[in-house]
Amino acid sequence: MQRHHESNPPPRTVDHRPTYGALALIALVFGVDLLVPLGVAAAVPYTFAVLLALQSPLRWFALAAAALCGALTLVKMEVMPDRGTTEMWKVIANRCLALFAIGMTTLLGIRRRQSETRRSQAEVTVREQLADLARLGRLNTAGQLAAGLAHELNQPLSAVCLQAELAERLAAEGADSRSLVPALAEIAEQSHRAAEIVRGLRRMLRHDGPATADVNLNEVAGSVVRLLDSHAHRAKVELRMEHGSIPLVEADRVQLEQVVFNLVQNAVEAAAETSGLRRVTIATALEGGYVRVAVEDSGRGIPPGDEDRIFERFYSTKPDGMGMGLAISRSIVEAHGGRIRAERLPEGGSRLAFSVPAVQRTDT
Amino acid sequence: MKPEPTIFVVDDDAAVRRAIASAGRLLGRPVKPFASAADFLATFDSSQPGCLVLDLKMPGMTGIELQQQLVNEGVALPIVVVSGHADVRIAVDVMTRGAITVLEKPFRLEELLAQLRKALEQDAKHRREAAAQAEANAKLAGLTAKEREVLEAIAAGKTNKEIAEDLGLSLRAVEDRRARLMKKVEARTVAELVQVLNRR
Repeated sequence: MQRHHESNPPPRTVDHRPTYGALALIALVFGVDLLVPLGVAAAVPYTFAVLLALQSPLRWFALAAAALCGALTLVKMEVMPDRGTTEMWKVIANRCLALFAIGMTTLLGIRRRQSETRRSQAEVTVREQLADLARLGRLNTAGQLAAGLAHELNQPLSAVCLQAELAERLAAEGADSRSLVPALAEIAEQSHRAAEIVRGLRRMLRHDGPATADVNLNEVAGSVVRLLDSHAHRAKVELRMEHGSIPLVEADRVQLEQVVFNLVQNAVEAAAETSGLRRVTIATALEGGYVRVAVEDSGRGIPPGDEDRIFERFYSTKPDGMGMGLAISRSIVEAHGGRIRAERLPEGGSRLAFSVPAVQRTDT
Repeated sequence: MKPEPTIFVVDDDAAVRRAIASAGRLLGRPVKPFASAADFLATFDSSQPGCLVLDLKMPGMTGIELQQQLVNEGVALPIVVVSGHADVRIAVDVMTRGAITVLEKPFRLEELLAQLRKALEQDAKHRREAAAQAEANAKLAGLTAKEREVLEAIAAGKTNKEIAEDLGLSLRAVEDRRARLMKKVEARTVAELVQVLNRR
């Protein structure tokens, strides 16, 4: 999500062409007005000048240009008192009409610009909120994982505690130091196992920018399966993994992990709702230069016609769902140059699959 | 003849299983580790004395399901439950079904050893009592209905004279029956007789 956020910086290039254009147009119209009496017709090019001035990056410039146009319209009357046969009141009425046209253009233009500014600010806010929600979603996911991870950490920790006390006891009894080797080796191995679990958690929680690397989606899917295994088991859902022979993809591993996690978690929840077969299958495959990860469940399936809607924000079929998981997943997949699709399976259940471009290797 | 008390360990985590097995061997008893409840059930024989160290959270049959099955089959093997997340509800649940204790992972070696000793002792005591009960039942089964009548009266604390009056027998007949039943039950005193009765 952050990738998405960062790729749309507010436009910072300052373009002063409208400013100069407006000034040039005003000068030209005034010049022509001096040579040929334009009368009220001068208001038309003046309003164009004001419209141009509204495009200027200088916010006060539109007002200044309007004031200038108005002043020049009046000045023209002083400089060119020779009005031919036209009556004075007609001249004044013409000039007032011209001033009115310029004034209205300026007023409407400024109001419109204000509402545009408000809208673009609102867009920025929404985008920021979405990025926050994405992080929140990840933290929430991590929270759900914490319980599972606590159990996972407990296993090596239990083994380490017991083995250490066993070794201590053996040593205290004056045992041959070689007899301590199995216990000590076990302590070292289990400590590494615990450290690996902690590393996994840290990867999950990290929220520095996207880090792209060559990622093996089989490994990503495997680690998600391990994380959700106990959850699936509690829900009495069978989790199956079908490893395809796939090349690497260039991606942010944590983000893709989150996508697979979302898909598998949804699938497990969907499968858990049925009384029949409760199975979730995760399959990886190479398809025309794209690595495809498909998650199939034996649940009730997506409501017909909602295959695209499920990726919309705040769409959820779960009573306590936020409707963010799949929306976030889609933006992650799209940011990786891939696509995500959902479909109902004819035999019941759904298949959600995403594909991301495989790394092209020419040196093989 | 009698099989040696064995410590059974059922835990799906290989590292924990190895550690508990090593700890169990400190007690000088044979240890049999199993990776799943199904593996354990496949080889377990309820006449085998010992105790069971059981993990709760396992793929396939869980520890709670295994305990329930053992209870249903009338197997009184003492169980020491080890669990990573022993919330009160689960602890109460397994304890009411007769578990010795619930140890929360990670636990101390001494704690485990103490609970294993307690479990083995309980199993031994239980098996002694069961044997004594079987013996008492066998002895009492050898009595005639009339001897049993006298036995109940003796147990109720009645004197020979009272028994004779109640049953409409001569004092002599009561004394005869009493001597016969004491011999059959292999009791020398009334106290021993009552003990046999209580074991039944």
